[in-house]
Amino acid sequence: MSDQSSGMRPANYGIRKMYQALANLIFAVVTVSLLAVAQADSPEQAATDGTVGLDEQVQALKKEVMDLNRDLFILEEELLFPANTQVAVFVSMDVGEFFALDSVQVKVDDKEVANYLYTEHETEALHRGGVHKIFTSNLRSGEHEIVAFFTGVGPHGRDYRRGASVKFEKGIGAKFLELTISDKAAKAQPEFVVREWE
Amino acid sequence: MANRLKSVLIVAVLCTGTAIGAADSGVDAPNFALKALDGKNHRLSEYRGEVVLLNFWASWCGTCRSQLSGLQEFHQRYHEAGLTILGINIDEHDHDAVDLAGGLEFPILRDTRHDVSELYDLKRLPLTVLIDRDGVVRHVYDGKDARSSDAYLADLRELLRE
Repeated sequence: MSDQSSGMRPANYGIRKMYQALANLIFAVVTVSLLAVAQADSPEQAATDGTVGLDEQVQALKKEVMDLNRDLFILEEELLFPANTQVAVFVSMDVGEFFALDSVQVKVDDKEVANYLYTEHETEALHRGGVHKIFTSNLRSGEHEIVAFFTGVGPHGRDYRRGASVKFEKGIGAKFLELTISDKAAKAQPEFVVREWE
Repeated sequence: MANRLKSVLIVAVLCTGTAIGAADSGVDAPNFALKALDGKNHRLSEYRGEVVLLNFWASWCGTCRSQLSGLQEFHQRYHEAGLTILGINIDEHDHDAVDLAGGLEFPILRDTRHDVSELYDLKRLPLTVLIDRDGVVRHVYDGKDARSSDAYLADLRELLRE
């Protein structure tokens, strides 16, 4: 999935929008029902007690909708990227002074699958320990090769572009790969590593 | 004679702008990330909570060039009120955008591969898209509807008041 200027419209965009619309519809219908029930009460009960009770009900409903949204998201992931073919690639950073990340390009079996521009906020989040899922897809079983290119500003403020690659065996079960950028103080250079999660 | 008149009418219809582009109003604005002339990367979704004005332009488009000063005024007047203007330049070379972007204080993003232009179904320049604080496209102006930046001032102010 390419991000740089191609927009975030993966194949599951339509499905996710459908699920969101369904969740919103359920929320709207139940909210209207609750309001109708509240209005059926006597005028005396419509004062503070009724209002507080309705707020609690709405909050509980919101939580249920959020839980539903989360469950739908997990279901969507399981349907679109079943564990037996799923491959996911993550980016993490542990750098201080040797590298300012600008973008990461990922190729699997010599085909570009991701090209992500990192903003200042996103880079900051990576510095703080965040991990970014840059790519998710399905691959058949067998040997594959992943190559990642990191572009940014290296030591002494110079433009920097480095690659790292690894061959991996895709078997039964999901495969997770991590692209790690870290300082190598001994060489005063950043280090780029691709590794598999066990 | 009738055929010639018919041809003229067809050409006239094709040359007129339309008020609504393919980035239809009421839909979530397609997200994207582009690099600006100053080297910083900008992602549209990070401006959620602000009113965003996207303006697609090119150095060879006279109407586009004449609007830039108006957009700069909008930026100065409404930036504090929550307006973010993102100029999206589609020229082939950076220097064409740099020559005209001097004095502009809002980001000029470079859509060199025209991926974002395709995402927003750019057909005529200039194309201006107004996005509300929830990331929803509310107004689209292209062609003759976008001749002057004042054409969408009223809509812009309404979004800022929301």
